[in-house]
Amino acid sequence: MLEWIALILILVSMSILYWLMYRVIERQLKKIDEDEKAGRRYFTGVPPNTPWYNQPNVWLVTWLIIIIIMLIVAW
Amino acid sequence: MVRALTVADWLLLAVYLGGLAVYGWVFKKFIKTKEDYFIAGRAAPFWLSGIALAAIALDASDLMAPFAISYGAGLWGLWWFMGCVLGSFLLAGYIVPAFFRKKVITNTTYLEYRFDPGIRLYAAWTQVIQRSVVMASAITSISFLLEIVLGAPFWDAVLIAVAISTFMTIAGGRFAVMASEVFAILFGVVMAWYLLSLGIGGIGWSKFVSDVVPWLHWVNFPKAYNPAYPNWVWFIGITILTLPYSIINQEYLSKTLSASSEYDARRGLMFPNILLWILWCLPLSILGNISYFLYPPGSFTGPVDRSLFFIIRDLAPAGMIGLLVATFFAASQDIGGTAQSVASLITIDTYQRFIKKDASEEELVKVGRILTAVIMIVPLVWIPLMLAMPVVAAVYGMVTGMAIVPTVIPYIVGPLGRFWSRRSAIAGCLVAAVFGFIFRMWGKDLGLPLLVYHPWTCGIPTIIIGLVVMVIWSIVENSVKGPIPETELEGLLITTPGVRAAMLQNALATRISKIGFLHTTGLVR
Repeated sequence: MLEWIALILILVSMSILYWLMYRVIERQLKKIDEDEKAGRRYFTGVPPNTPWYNQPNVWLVTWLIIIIIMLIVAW
Repeated sequence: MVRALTVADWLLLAVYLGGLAVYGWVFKKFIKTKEDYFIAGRAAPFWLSGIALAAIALDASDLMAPFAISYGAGLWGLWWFMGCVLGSFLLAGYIVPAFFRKKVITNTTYLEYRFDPGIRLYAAWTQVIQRSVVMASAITSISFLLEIVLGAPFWDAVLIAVAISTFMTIAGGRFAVMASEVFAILFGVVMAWYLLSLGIGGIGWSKFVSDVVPWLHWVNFPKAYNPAYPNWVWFIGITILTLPYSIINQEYLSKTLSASSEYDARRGLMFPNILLWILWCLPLSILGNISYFLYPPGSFTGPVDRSLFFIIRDLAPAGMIGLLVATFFAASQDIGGTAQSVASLITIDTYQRFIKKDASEEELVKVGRILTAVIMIVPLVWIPLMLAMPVVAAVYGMVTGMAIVPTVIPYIVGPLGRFWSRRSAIAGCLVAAVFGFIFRMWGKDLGLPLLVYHPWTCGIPTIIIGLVVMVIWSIVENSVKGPIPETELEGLLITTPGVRAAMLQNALATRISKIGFLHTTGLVR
């Protein structure tokens, strides 16, 4: 019984995920085309007006803090 | 006692593996150019690039490695990946922007821009060796699964594993790799936690709390392995050892470069990627400790990795065997992909660059195809060595520590300044590799300290030797030839002093919206 449930679950979850992925890639390619036409495709650095919580360096520091806390707790 | 697969289990396996190939085929329509093919058209949003990155780093061997390293050794298996995490931080911090600005497709091309063609060739071949060891671990993992759970003889199982992953590469192709990887990694994380629940169920909750939980500390590692050195030495050793996993790994880099911008690449490297690593390695590390109590040392032969499959064999309920087998196959689907990326390194970085510069596209594709098939056989050489080790990953430790770790130095120090001269990289890497080899082979006979030849720490002396040689070589070469002209290093360096200040401010999250850290005039010029 369990194996049939697993089979159905995997079929359903796979179909949903692949459909989502398909839509994402489609949308992304469209966006890239638009960006290319508008001349903002190959920007370097962080896009202007990026809020602080989307700054890669803020993420980096956050991770370092989390890892240090993990180390201290589990030592 | 082995487990038999029921009709529904076989069906599940067929649906899952077939589904990866069939669904993948749908994505074929997105492939129009060479860039689309190799690096997904530089179109991926950060989360997709990040998830695919984690999927690349976590294959079937990595279901086994955190488990086996943690076997009676606390959360050590989780630390196994901290080197990769650190490598990802370095890439995200300042290495990847240079790759983006130079629009490279292979990571070794960067080395030729920054240093010389020699280091490009050397780095390509060290990657070939390193990846073949990783492929061998993944094949061993699948073979243990087939042997222990389903009862196939080990070497038959090896051949089955190689045949299936080759078939999957051919059938599934590369065009859908990203999509199928997203599914494989999410599925793998769920199954890792499910395996942990099986382990806890097997040992019993009260015994888990009283016996296993006290072991869940980092500091249990030396107790289980060797108390000769303090913890921090082992920590540094293993972090250095796993640095190449993210830095010298063309497959990993190709996923990073598939992000739609360097901004997305950096975020992808940092967020979904590392979160998934922790979610994947933590349950398996804990399970390794449970296994130490369920299957104590001496109760079985061969590497301790095998006890993971005893848990599946003995504890999984009837309906879940097919799903667990599918998890391992899903996690191993990149064995073929790895062979392909290794083949591309040899084809592009060696054949086209040094042997036949005017080779036609068809010829390159043909060479690549032959090499892919040949490379699928190479890992088989490592397997007997792996079976003789207490932990399969020890072979990775030995090979990487003695010869491959120094290759990360040029990537790490290259962008930092103009000081590093053209030939310093190849000189440093070669000298370090020679010393690493001598230490590994004869260190014990020569009466050298354990640190220089132990599989987990041998990266420490080699990386120091490599760095020292690079410094000396650069001083000499710079004084003879003068430093490399700035114009030749356009886009490859962090040089402007103002940028370092901006970097610090950026890290502290002050003036965030105004910082030009990575604008065109910013970090990497």
